[in-house]
Amino acid sequence: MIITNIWGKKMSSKEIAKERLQVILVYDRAKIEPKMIESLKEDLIKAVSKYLTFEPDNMRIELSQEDNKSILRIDIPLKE
Amino acid sequence: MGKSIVITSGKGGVGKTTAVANIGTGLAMRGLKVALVDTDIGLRNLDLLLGLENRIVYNIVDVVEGKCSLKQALVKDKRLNNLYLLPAAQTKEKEAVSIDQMKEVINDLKIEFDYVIIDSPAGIEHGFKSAISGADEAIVITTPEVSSVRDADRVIGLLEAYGLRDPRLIVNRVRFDMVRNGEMLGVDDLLDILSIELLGIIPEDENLIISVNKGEPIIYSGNKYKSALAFNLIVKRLLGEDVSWDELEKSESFIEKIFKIFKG
Repeated sequence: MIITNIWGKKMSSKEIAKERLQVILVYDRAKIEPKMIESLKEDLIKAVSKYLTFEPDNMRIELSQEDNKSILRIDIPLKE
Repeated sequence: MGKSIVITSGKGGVGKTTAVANIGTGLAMRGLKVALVDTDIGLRNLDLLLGLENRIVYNIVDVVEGKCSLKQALVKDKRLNNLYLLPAAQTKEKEAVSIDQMKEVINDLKIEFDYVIIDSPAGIEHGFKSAISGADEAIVITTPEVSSVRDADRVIGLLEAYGLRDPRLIVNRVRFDMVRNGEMLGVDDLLDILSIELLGIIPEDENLIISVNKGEPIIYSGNKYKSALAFNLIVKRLLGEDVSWDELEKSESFIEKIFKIFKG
């Protein structure tokens, strides 16, 4: 069965399984619930908005794993 | 002094006990003295897979409670004189054997046996911790399903935290046809995700169900069935032999071809 992912790319159910696993295992290993990152994002938007101008839609939060360490990356492109 | 190996998975029903029965039998078929230990107190099953359920007198809880000697509790296999089972208790509580007691039992077995293969219960609680406590090495078993892979990842982390470094992976119930069609995670995908060394691949095989019905590990059939061949390759690899990864898939596609010829 071929399913299309949110970017319109055709994915087999095997690729979907792999992608879902890769995402959830980063959270499992960091002992963080994915939903918590969502809440963090909302709080960050509120906090940063007090001082700087930016487009919340362009903000990116990403949890990843490097050398057995969990790394949280936050990108906030500021408005010119 | 022998070597103790725990087979564990996190998730239940992925094939731990089947793997213990077949790997243990395979090692014994090569002349090694092997003890199989069922640590799943309250839910014992290894006896059934070996067809030894009617021969049990004492169990591991009796041993730690001093009701019998370790030797008295060991059940000799029906076919092989150098294969023994230390059964779990069926009626006791999960905590009936402490971690230190389990360690002691395994160490005592290592004096007498070349290999002590430990069947761990599902889960990551007391039973798991005690099962891994006496092990020198660990084997993690998973199927190619997302839930089982996630649990395997958790278990790999825990094993490393408890000092069992470099566990090896067995992937069970692989359907090469589905992998080829992009409908099942392949072994290469699992190795990408889990970062662990591969020990073996076991194809989905209905003959395994029949062997469990009969209480006769499938590895007795030699290389007649694909799962038996897979277990034999695992045993070889455990003994340090260099085994090609392609052997299984080749044999599977060979069997498929034969089937196709007969089906017309």
